Amino acid sequence: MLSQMSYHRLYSLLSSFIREIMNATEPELLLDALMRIFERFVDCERIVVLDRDFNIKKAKNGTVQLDEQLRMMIRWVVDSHSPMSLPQGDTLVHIFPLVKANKVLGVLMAWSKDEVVVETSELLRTFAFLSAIVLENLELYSSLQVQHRAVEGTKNYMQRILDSFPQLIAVFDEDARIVFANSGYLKFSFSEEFASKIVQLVQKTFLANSRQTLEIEEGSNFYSIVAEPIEHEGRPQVLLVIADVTNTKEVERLKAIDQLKTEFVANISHELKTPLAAIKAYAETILTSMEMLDQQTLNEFVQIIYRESQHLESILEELLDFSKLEQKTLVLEKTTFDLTGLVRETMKSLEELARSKQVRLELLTREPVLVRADQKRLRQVVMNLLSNGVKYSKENESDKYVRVKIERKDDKVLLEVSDNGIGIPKEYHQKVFERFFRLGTVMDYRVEGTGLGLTIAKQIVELHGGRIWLESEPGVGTTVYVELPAGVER
Amino acid sequence: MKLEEIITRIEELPTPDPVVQKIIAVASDPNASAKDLADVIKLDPSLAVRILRLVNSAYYGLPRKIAQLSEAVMILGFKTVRNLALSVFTYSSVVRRKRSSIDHTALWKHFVGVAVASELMAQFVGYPNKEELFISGLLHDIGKVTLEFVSPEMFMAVAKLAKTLKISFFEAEKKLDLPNHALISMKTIERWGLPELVSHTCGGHHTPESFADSLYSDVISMVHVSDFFVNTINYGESYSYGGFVLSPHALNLLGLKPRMLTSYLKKLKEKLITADEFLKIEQEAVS
Repeated sequence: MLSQMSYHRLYSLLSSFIREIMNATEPELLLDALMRIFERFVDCERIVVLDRDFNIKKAKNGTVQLDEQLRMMIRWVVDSHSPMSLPQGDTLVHIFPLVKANKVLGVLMAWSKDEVVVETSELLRTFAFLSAIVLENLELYSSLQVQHRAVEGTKNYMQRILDSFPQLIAVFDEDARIVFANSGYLKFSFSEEFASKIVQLVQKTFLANSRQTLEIEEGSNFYSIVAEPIEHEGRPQVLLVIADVTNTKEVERLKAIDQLKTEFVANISHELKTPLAAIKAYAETILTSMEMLDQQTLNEFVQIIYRESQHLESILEELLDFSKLEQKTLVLEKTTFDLTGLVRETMKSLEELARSKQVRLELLTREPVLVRADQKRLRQVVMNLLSNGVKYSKENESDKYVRVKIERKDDKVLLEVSDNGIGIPKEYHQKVFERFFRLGTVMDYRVEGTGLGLTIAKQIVELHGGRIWLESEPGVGTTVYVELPAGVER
Repeated sequence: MKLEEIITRIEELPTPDPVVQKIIAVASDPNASAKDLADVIKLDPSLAVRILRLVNSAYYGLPRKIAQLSEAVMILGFKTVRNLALSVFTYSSVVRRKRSSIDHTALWKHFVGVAVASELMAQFVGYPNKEELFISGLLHDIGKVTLEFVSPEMFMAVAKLAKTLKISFFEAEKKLDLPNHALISMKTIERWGLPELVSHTCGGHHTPESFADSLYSDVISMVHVSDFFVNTINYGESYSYGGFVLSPHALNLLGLKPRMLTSYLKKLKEKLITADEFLKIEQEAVS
């Protein structure tokens, strides 16, 4: 029999119990604490805790076999929420339910020789009830932790997948703050301009509440940005996906070049065929009708054959030059010469063509301008620029001209070739220098040529360390500028 | 008639006999053992027999028969055995008084109903000390018995008014400007030496909101709600004929939701079927 419990003892036990359950962070620890408290109240031979299915979960001082009758008593204790002290021979089995409302969490059983007085019984029962409540909370907490770990695991898994994307992915809230980002996005160093464009796009997406796209050129790279309005927990957000499309752009460019090449081959075949057909036709005529032709006609025919072969030669020459320039095998043979003289000579050789098109060739510079350069190549450049001026003249213009001005500026020489021809739309100002590009094709002008002239001119000028550019207005005229290092004293 | 007058007349009411009084005392003694309680009960063999009958009744549904009183005390607990002793006593003082003109059997049935309902309610809301709920439920309307003992005419007047106006016994008492039976219950129980919890709970069972600050406000609310349900399912007779009000204060305090009440009512009906033995305590006494 237990001695009378003093208030001091009671309060110290209560305090100990409270301390123990406060420290119990998991169900196991709580059950340990409860078993210790029971041992302090009751002189136990043995103490066990059963789980909700009445399997022994914890045992102190040896385990036990629960016979069917005992199990029925345990079931009764649990169902009626009533603790029981069951006499078994000279031993009492104290059975305490760990229940909360209608939820069974377990059973505590203690074997003792001692009977329990009213107060102790009430107290132990209270402890058992309290423990059940704490136990349930701990079990809920544990299951929450498990769930939390599962959620965390899924989150990490998704994050890894998203991190492996080559795209930069981020989610923004209404204040354009990042709430999620993959590692690609976080590692990317945005320029100030790039970052502000992103913020603008995000804000625009919130306002429009519809998908927005944007392409940004940053350095030598191209980025395609897609912003999509999404919703999370009832709040609008924006999902942003940035893809580096530089390679795609490069492929597109190569595809365009390929297309130009195909056009070029078709074009060049035609260019080669025309003079060849003329040569063949006149040569055949001469061969079959030699005796019927008078001297003058024969002479004219041979002249044509000669001219056409020259033309053919020049086309082949151009192709050869281009191929050399492409393969970077062209070597400049620099000499010092008078550029004014070179232009004058070239104009002379173009006189016939100019006359046929009724274009005046004017050289505004009289004095010699010395330059150190490859004379042959430079003549090619001048020839190309002048013949372009003549070829792309306006048909119904009454006073057609191509004017050349040469100036020495400091250590540079500037050559200006201006005409009042058809002009070039602004979007083609750069393109005309690209290989295979023919203004005639895009503007539907029936002008013969390989489409390589300006490309070659540009490469020759650049090989000399100079630069070439143009100013032009459609319907008004074009001025091409060639700036070369003089290479000699004035 | 004033409450004071009734209180003086309560003195004349039968008090629990010495054995029952001793049982109450032992069950309230923190250092009492099962054997102590069993020894007291054994002093009245007929009481012991009737207690054992209840112990082995369907209401407790024990897996095996219990033959020894000390075993009954250990298995069912001190308070349950005390409750059984008090049940037997109350039954004797309520039902056996044949000279009365009212249907005591029906009133007793109401007592048992609220006792069972209150104990079940304790289990429902997770209140460990459910034995006190049983005895509070059992004795909540003992004031009606007192009133009927003190003045059968007054009791009949109240009962008649309640029946005519289809109102509750409590409302009829108010209309007749009589002290309410809950307070009389409290006074009666105080005299019997039962714990304060029981007397206060019985005293407040019609007005839980005015006992909101009481130490036992939750117990009062449990008995109040239980009383309401036993009245609505017409288990026994409480001499109330309408005007049952379920206090929102009590429901809030206990955190009871309509869904819980539905399942509670279903359980209560099942439980009441097992409480049959409590209605037939008399039979054993005759033998």
